[in-house]
Amino acid sequence: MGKKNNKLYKGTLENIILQLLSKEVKMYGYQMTKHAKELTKGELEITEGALYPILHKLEDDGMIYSELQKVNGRDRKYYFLTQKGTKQQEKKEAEMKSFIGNLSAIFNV
Amino acid sequence: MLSQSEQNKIRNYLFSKNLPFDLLLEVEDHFQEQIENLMQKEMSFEEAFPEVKLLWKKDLKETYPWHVLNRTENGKITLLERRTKMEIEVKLLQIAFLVALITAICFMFLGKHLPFSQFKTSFIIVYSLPLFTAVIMYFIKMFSYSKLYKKPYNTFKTSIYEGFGKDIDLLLYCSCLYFLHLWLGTDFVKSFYSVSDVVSSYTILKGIALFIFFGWGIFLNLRFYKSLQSFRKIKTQIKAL
Repeated sequence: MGKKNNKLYKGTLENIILQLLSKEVKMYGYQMTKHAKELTKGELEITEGALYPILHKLEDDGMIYSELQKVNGRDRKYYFLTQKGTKQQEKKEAEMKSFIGNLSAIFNV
Repeated sequence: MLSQSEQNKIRNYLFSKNLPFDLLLEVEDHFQEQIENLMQKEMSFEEAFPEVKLLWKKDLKETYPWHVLNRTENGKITLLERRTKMEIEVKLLQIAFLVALITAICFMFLGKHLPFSQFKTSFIIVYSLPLFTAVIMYFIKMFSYSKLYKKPYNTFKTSIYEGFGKDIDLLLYCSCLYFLHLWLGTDFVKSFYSVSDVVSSYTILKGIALFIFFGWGIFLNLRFYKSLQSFRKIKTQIKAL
């Protein structure tokens, strides 16, 4: 992740990836970094070195699965949410919303 | 859209970084997208490629893993590969040692209920099983690879789940298991069978060693299984090399 938000976003990357995937049917690595950056207006920069290990971990945990597809003659690995991943995403989304709500209350945002 | 020669330049660069092929395919796509993005901003490929390499510099920095004694170019791994391996292998280790623990508890229970001959047979079968299944999976993978790709098996790493030195750790496991067998001796099963009796600290030490080796064997099996699964996904891409 980008230096400026490194500490604050650390530990939430798994949730961010699950959340991004829940909004799309399938996504590939570069698309995730680009989409996260667009959504946060450049604030969140997911580095490749953080993204791929987490993607592989999530796949290993059965949260997501991948498929290689040919796009314009190129091999692209798309990631999809599994049922287990969808449940986890819903749970984490609720947790994050409650966490953000609590922070808002404390910081009077 | 990148030309074939430009795509080849990217692939050759990533191959030089010794990345496992399944991870390489993803990184390659990421590289291509980033370069194309820069080229849309009026940059040439020759300008964009070094820019992207710079973005990946830290992640593609190569180091030697602590267990690699033979410090050749092939032994190096990138930071990206190391991080990815750490993420996936910790969980595999946890599963492996949980299975080893459950098995040990089961045998302690069986020791009180089974006659010794049956206990000995089942003990030997269960504790030898990881070796046989790992060797079988190793050969399945090697033959599938040879069918698809004519170059030697150790030309490149196919999967992030692959052990160090193209699964040479299996050989290490086999050798260690042989010496462990010599050390444990034939009477060991008997001492395990009568575990409810007073056992010496030496026997406990042997039991711990067997537990670790069994866990290691399960870990190797899990990794081979995952490696085979990953290999099946990239068969077409390996064939096209």
